[in-house]
Amino acid sequence: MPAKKQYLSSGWRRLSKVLAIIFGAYAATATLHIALAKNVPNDTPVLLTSTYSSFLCWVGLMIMVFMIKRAWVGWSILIAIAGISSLLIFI
Amino acid sequence: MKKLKGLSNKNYNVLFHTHTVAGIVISFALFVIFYAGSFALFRNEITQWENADLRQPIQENFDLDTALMKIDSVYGLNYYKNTNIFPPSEESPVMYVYGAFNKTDTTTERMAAYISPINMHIQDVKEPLTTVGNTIYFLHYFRQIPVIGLYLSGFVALFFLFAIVTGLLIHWRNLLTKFYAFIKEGKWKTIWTNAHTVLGVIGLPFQMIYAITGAFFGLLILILLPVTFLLYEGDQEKLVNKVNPAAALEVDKDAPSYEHFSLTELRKNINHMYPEHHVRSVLVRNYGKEDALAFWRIDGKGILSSGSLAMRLKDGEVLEKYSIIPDKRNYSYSVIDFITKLHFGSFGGYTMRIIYFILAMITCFMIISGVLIWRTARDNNKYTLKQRLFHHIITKWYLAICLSMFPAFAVLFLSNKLIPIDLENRVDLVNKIFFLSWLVLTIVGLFWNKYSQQNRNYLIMGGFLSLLIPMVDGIVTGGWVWNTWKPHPWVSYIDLFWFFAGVISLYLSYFVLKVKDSTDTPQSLEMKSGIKESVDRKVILNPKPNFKRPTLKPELAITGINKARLKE
Repeated sequence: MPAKKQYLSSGWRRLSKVLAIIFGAYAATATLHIALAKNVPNDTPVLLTSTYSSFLCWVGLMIMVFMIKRAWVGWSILIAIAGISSLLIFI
Repeated sequence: MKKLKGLSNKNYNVLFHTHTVAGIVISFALFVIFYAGSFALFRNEITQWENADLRQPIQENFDLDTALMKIDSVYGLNYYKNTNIFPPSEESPVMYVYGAFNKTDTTTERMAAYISPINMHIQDVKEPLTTVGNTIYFLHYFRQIPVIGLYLSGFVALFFLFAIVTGLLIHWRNLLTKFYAFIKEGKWKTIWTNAHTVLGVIGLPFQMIYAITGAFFGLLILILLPVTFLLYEGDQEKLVNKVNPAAALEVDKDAPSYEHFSLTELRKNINHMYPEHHVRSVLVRNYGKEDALAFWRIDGKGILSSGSLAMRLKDGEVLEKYSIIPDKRNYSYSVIDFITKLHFGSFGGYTMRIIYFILAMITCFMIISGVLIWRTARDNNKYTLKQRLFHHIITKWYLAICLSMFPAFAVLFLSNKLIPIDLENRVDLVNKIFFLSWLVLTIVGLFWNKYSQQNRNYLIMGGFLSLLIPMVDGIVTGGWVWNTWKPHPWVSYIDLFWFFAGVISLYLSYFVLKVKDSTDTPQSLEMKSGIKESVDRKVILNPKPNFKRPTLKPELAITGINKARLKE
């Protein structure tokens, strides 16, 4: 019953993914929500929603990173989300 | 029944692995959180049980102002700061006040105290005499671990959410076909798997609620820090004002003294205005001054029926702009309250909290069954002897830590009664006894090599200790069940809970859990002893089976009945 090994990543790729789900996915989640709050007329509901939707979003991104075989592809998606969101925050 | 379309083979295996790893890493911490948390739902009732001074008949009429003045005369309250008063309730029949007093000319310190509505007797809460409810409550978010405890529990909740979502995804294709798979026959692996998945599906909404609201309380700072810095230039107050309209109201430090309306009278007014609601607490600022303010937190029956009324004490007028009117509140003012109520089960009365308790216990069982699946599924020839011993030792540790909580909690309850109430530092002593006995019980459990033996022995120890609790309570405080039944129902319910917990666990361990077959004995251990008897090591590590086992069709292999049928 344990998962079949041939599908699992190992070594550095695994470490990279673990770092991505904690730091990368968190950064993407936080910036995404703030960008949304900044670009709507009333940010209060968005901010309050983010107190729970952030965790769902974070977990969703974690699953995404694991489903993508190559760690760098996952990283680039996370960095892209964080980058675009940051642009929306600071412009 | 139709199977749902599940994940692709690759994604199934990947997510399955992440589910296993995340689950194993958090499992025992999550168990501690759920087990302690389920008791913490009744924290106030337990506090009433542990502290005989708090056992008082519930008063309908009580004087908030006299209580406040009495507290003031003892502590010297600084009314410019927030002072909170909680009126007596069924959960806690004494009033509870917390506020601040001047320590030096420039610094203030916070105080908290119980005050009896009958004889105005004060008990300090910061240096309490007893600690069961608090110890359990703090344990459920690891507050005993300095600094990082809360965040640690938040991350456990986050990865619990991850495990729930991945668990749902990998179970998806069997969601309908295995919905009723309450099977207690067959191989242990099948039993554990079915229990884990079926209870997981049934408990899913509850566990989602707990994972999200738990992460909310533990990791809120991670969400709010970037918000304050990126949107509000680091000004925290702006954020607070958005959630709490009353925070925008200010009072003057040098306002003149004034004889304003009494809180006791105003509370009666509020009861007339909102007959379906009751006052949960009142926060006062500048009490006894001209610009004094009171914020009444009121609560009704539904999950969104709470509200907050800002009131000027000078004329008793409700300031609607700064209030949250119950049942008319908007989304932004509701979210935090909603999450809090969902987490603490403080809606729907005692029924809801009892349901929460049962669901939390089911979750505890799920966590254990998950660990047992992990080990049983790895107890075969694909793994080296060393690996299998490692799995066995980990499982043994986990079970010892988790299952010993039952007797350890009983020790906590007992030690609170047995240590003399006037002993100095008794709270520290009680906490030390609890944590040390938990440690000792865990270590003792490591010497039992069969999981069934661990389970049964802990049940027996816990059972005997539980039976002692109502007796010790009766002997020490005179609070026998038949004495407390009428005046303090919750005190007797807690005694009765322990009585029945003891009887049931002793019954189970002596009459039901007589495991005769050794299916739960780890094969790895049998092999280990085999080696000691100088059996050829190579044969064990690389067994070459002489016969091929007949492979069963998977759907037939589920139950023992089918197996028997095949033999025929």
